[in-house]
Amino acid sequence: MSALDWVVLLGTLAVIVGYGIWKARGQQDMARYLRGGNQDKWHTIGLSVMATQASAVTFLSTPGQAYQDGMRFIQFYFGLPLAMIALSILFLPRYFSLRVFTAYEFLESRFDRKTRQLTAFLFLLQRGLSAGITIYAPAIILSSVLGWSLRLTCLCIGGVVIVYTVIGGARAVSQTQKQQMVVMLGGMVVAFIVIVARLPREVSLGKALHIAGTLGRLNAVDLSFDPSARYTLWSGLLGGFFLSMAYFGTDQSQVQRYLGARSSTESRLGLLFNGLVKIPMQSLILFVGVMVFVFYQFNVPPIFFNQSELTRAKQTAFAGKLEALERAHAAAFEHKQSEIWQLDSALERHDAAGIASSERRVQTAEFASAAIRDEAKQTIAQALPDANTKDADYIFLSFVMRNLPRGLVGLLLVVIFCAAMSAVAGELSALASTTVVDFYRCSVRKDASDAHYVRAAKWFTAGWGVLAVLFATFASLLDNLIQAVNILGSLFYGTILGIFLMAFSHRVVRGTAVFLAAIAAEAVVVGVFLGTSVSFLWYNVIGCVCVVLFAGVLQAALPRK
Amino acid sequence: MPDEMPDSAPLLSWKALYLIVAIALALEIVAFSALTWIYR
Repeated sequence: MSALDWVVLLGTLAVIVGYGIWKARGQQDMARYLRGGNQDKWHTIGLSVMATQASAVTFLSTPGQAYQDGMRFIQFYFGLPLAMIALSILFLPRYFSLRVFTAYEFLESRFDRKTRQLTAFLFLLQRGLSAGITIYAPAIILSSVLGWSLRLTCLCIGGVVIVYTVIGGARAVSQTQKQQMVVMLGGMVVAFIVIVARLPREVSLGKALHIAGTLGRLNAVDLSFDPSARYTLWSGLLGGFFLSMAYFGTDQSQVQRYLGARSSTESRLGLLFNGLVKIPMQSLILFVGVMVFVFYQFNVPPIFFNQSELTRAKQTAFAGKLEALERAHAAAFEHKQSEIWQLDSALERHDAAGIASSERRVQTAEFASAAIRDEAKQTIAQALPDANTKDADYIFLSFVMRNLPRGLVGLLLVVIFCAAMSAVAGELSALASTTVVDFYRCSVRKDASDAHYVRAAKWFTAGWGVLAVLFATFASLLDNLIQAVNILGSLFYGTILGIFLMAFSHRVVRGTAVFLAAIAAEAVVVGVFLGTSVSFLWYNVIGCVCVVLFAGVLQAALPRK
Repeated sequence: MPDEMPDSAPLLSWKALYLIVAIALALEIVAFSALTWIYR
């Protein structure tokens, strides 16, 4: 990394963090520390909600996903705008009328304390574990590509976030997130423009799209009804709707963002802004990945994008085989490129028959090239049994480091750091507020002063932050646990959403019926996860529907007091 | 907390704003379907 890149990286991060702390100075009471004093306007709410959801993995993995699998991931977001409308109508007015600090506080007013604390506990469990992963996931990629120490990278990301979140509370989080989101969006727009500009002069954007489409990278919409297909239009609309309702409506890391609004009007406008902007933003990130793919049709790509693992594998007895595969890969690239240029000239001539036959030859050449890459991955797995052979997460950062000019590398690293920090800050602030409001103030110290609870919230923020950094530092020892944590969210969200929907809609159903229904529904979701191949997006629908059905039946069966 | 402002949408009614978000989603799905179909 050049000196200019370091200046861009450290300078931008320092300005954003400094601005956040300055804007949030003097937070002495709970309303200010946990809700930011209700000063935020709709644009701060909208950007802050988006920044909380967009973790560093969004910017590292999503372009790689588009590079390898095309645009189909966009369907995951199709349910989100509808969920924003439903939340604006159903959830938001209730939260604002009760002036709650956490989403779970509402459940006690409607049901009872045990249902409130069960739901809050499920949130702390899943979000507490995922905060560590939010730090670890980008740190492992950054440390591998940049040659930094993994522990130091985790400490840098976590340490900075802990400092400004403890000092400034929810307001520092939302103010920094607003700046971070602007930098993230700006950085990706610049990256897109630079990548397109670096394509050969003869290749227009239209031709680039044609090449990407020929090689299956513009397959955005899948109309099939296969429940095991991870992303289809239907799972995106229905499963994505339920997931977004649960995440934005019941996850305190999101609810805290819009509870900080100046009024429910600003809050609603912020959510609707998220509904309007989210899909275009994700499209941009996916298109960046597609354009990196087109770029590598004219420039030799690495046979394996995780260079440190490739180098390690080359130090074993498999070095000769890997070098032979690299030569075969380069030859396959030359052949594919000549076929692509023939497709290009057929496109120039508007020769329909020539275009069709060129497309088939380009596809055949791509299969041959992909087969060599697969063989290289198998060889690396043989050489290093502990190696992770999925290199999609490394594609974008590897491209940035090799091909972007000085200064822009620093800017793209700012994007990744901003994303990591904004997501972690939202999580830590929410974990601390739930711990203080739903457990400490309810069950430990019931009648302390506001200043005491603010001090407690600061300690809990620091405590959750240290736990997250420790988890991230030792996460490499717990690979299977990481996989489990990733699935954890969808395992619980449906049930939590079901509890909230019962709270908002059926006045007849009481706390005990909902509490027991939630436990039974969770058992069903875990059964579906363990016993079937149903895609995880459907868990959200199943959990929610089960809570609603079981609670209705149990309420009818249980004796009335 | 400052006094709650009346929960009315600026410029347009809430229904109109919800409709804009829903129409934008429909247009996005149509655009992505067209992209898939044109470059299949």
